[in-house]
Amino acid sequence: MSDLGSLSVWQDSAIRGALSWYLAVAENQHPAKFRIAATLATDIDPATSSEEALWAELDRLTPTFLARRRTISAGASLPEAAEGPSLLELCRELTYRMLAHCNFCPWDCRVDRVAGTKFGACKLASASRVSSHFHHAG
Amino acid sequence: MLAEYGGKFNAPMLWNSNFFMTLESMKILRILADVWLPDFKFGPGRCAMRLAKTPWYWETVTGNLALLDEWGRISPFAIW
Repeated sequence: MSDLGSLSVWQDSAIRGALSWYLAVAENQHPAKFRIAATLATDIDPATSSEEALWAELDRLTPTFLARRRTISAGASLPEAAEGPSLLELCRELTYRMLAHCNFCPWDCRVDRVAGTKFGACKLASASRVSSHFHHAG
Repeated sequence: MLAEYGGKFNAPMLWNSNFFMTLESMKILRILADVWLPDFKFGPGRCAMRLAKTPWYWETVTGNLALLDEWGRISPFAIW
């Protein structure tokens, strides 16, 4: 068992129950959710589809994704990654579309953060600004 | 220990934010976040307005936490 898995905090059944997925992924007993998303092929080409079509495809694939995650949690192995665009690429494309008319937060500024010529409430373009960094020791 | 599953990179994705997010953001993160770490910054009333000039803070963040709870009930996992 890893150092993480042998921490005494896991002896608390409430914590273990609530964070069992996290621990299993951290221990590589389960694939992370982004790996599961990469196994689900999209019916549309994300790069050339309208944003409306992208959201509809996300709504269509989400129940399938949740079901696949359930079977994997119950012990099924991860299917092969999709050959073409997957739910993971769909999420990436949607994120970039949103960035171009930013509505990530309720300020709903609708500025184009890809262009970065006009700023919204957060005054950010597409790059992150780091104000501090430090180890979280737990 | 290698961070690999099936020979490819594997690591839990932890979403740590103030959860001041729209439903659209939440729907994308639902696919990607293995574990959620909400930083609850301000209390109810006008706390977030007074301290950070942020309207809709309390209803947005509590609404998103309620949504995670609902999603957790739909799936058989306690928290995810």
